[in-house]
Amino acid sequence: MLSIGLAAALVCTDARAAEDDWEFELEGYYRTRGYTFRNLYPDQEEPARVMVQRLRLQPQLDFEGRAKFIMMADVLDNVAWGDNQSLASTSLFAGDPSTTGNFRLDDGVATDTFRLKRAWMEFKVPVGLLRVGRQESNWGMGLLSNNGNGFDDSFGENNMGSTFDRAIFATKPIAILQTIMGRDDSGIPLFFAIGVDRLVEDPLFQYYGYSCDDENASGDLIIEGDEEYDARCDPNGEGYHTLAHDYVNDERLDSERQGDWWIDNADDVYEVVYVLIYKGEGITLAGSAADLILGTYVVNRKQEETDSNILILDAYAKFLWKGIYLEGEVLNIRGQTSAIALPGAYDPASESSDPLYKEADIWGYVARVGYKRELYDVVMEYGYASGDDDPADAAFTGRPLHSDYNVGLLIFEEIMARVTRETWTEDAAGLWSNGGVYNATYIFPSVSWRPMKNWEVTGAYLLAWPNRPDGSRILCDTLDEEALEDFTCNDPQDGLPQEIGWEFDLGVKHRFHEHVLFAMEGGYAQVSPRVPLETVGLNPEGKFFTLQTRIAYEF
Amino acid sequence: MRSVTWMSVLLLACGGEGTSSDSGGGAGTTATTGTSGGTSSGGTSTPGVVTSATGFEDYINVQEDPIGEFGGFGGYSAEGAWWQQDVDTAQLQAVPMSGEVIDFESDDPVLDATLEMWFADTIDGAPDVRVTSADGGSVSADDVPTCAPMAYRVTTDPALEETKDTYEFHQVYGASSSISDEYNSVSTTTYAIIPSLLGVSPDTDKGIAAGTIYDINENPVEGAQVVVVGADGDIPDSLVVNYFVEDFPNRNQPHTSADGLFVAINIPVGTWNVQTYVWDSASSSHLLMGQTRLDVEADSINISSIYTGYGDGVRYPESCLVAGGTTGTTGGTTGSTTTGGSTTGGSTTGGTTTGGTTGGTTTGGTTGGTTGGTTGSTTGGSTTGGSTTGGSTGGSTGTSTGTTTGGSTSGGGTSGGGPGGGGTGPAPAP
Repeated sequence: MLSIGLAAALVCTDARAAEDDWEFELEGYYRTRGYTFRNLYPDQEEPARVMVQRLRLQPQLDFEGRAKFIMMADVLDNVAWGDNQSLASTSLFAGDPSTTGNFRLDDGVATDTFRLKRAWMEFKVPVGLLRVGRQESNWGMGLLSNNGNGFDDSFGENNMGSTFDRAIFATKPIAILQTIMGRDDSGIPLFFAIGVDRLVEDPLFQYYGYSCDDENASGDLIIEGDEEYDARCDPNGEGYHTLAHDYVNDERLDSERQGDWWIDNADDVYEVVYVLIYKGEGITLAGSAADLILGTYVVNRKQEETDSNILILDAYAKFLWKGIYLEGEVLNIRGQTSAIALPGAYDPASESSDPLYKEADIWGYVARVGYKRELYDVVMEYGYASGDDDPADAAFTGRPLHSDYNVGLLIFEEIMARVTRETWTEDAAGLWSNGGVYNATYIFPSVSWRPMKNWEVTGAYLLAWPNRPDGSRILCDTLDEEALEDFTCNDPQDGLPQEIGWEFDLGVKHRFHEHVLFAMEGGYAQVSPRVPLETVGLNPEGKFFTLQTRIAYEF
Repeated sequence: MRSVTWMSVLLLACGGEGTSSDSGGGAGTTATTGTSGGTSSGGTSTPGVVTSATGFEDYINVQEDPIGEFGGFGGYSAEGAWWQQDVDTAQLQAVPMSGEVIDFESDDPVLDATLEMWFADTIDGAPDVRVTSADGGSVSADDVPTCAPMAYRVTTDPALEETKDTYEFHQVYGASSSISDEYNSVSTTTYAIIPSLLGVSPDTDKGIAAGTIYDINENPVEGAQVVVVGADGDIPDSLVVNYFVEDFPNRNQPHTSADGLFVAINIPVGTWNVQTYVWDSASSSHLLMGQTRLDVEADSINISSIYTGYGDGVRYPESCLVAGGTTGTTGGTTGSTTTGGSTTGGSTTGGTTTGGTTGGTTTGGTTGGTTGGTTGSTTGGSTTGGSTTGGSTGGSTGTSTGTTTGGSTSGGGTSGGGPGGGGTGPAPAP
């Protein structure tokens, strides 16, 4: 977690300042997970099974608690068991397993055995802590920024994880102020952080926002005075078009880069991150211990070349007192951009001269209310991820919640992940849900019971409705136009149910030998005709079942 | 994420990219004007047929005059009123073909693709040619006919799910001693992304049709709309028709934009006519301007464009037509005007030669345009045509010239501005 992690680091480094030696730590896990799916595909007669695995290594070198170097690498990252690349010419005699990737979203292609995903340093400075490098990012419940570490979800696995090339400084402003005023640090856990992320130095796409032809219909060069002449296409002022390109030009190749490939600042994408959080854990409230966390995470992302200026606002709160549990996060992404290279991203009704111009207004939130005791938890979760009924118009309103914020095992994690993948194809892979909550409002009540130490049984029910049916991934009903504001459907259907579907999940978790984690999770889902299952090659009956087992060694 | 540039390729190629399949020339030179050529002016004299099928208004509802050259074709009115083409049977020859199967989006060669051709222009029975693409996507065959419409299909191993069955109909190769062409294969990715952008879920039991609406000069028509009808005029309930803007599919575009592109999704399996209509403000009606026949297969994409004036989607290259037809129909084509010829008719259509240009431009209005066009002359209209008194004078002048060029005998004159002027010339197209 970005801010909380930094805050913890601040506390930790204080506590370890007395150490004066190198310290090496190795964290991570090895986990394997088995999946069984029934009725996923129409021609699937028997339950389909597959096993995948991951070894995550996160070594850390700590010098006197003042300076750390941390790496994170995934080895055999979600690689399927067995030799699936025919390393042995005869399968029956297969010996060495291959590194065939995750079965869920990459069509079973060979992957790198070793992936170094993160490496960063962090060190204390007189007034705070500085962290620099390719590092994890996490905030709040993980709807926007989710590091994908560990086993923090009730169901399913973390697969992706947020990583940024970032320099961030964190401090305790009240402590500094008190120090300046000559007072003792009262220990108020208020933290502030500011950072800069460099997302792109030089993209391979050139975003123009207008097209240039160098020839007219007769095949002649377009010269000044011609109807087709556009001065923007005549960069040399020679009086005729010398530049031919589309709205977005993807003809630039990294192999063609020259020595100065990096000097153009206009195409850089960067963002400034601001964090302010009160992290009151274990505070005393009305005589009882309580947790109270309140924070905000603000990101301003820019790219000059595309006139992009995006503001991301995210607020997070958590409260736990006498078993009363409240937690929530809300995010809004807003601003304007011409940087979305979505095929067909063009709105003829737009008055803008730039056909790539889009205004973003994306919302997402999750709220939890519950009661937590040592023996059991009862939690009601309500969530939302705004959708986009017309991705090709100038209003960009849809974005799934982070794919490592898991809600259930089937509807979002598997079905909608496949639906978005098949309909958007690889040409628009950025619009895949990857398992995140997609274009929906949902409720997700759950009950957890811990009958004995290190055992937990969790049952949950998921019911989801579409937010803005787009007619392709979520079909729209004739009544939707009446029910939704500013909504039109290109291909309305009659008599569709209101919901996307429902799902029931049950999981059992057990930790033994302190480091070994075992989980068995099952789910049954009924997906409604709102989702075009047959079109994307899934079983149109819409009844899906999965049984999944995980065993992990965490160190 | 790939950029939008791929979409530019998509469907722009619908008209065929074959080096030997170029179609006829523009107005004034084409041999395509038939019985209606030059007989109508501004689309006002021959009302088209408006289908009264249920749901017709859902698809055909534009009320803006189109932009394009319609050569006097005022809309289909009755059986047999489509323009006819006088094919020179001597050009019907079987010649060797060498080509390349390419991906519709990327133009990359497609290996191990099966190209099948049906010379009868309908997918029925065993194909006349079946070849498999080798390295570089290359294909070759002997005895492929020129100057005859044909249909072809490109498929790949269905188990690989890499491409969709791609059909193209009414492909005509010009007279030549050999054929060189590129054959499109639509990838699964391309097939999926168009409905995705349009907000439509394609039914795998149905097909997709796509193409371009062309005017008589084979330029895209702006302002046209498309509907798919069966033999009895029924419109499939599942049909969704959308248009493109700047070569991109766009659900908010109500009719063809300047690119003339359309896509019709969820067409049931079977034989259908894809019809295009335009609005005629003079008659306040929609005119049926062209149609093409498609044999739609399930889970396929079917490419066929629509040419103004033709009811079968076939437009022969000029090299396939009889020479007399070319000359004889010049007058007819020239003599005609576009919709509301009062403005663009004479000036542009007529202007292909010269008569109409002056007539239409100077005098403007229906009379000028019609006269210049009706004259169908090469020089007549240009000198005196519309510039003086429009119809009557232009017609008069044009008469003599028209006679000379074989355009029309009585096309001009005081009555030359009226319907039928150019078409009554001595050598109209059949």
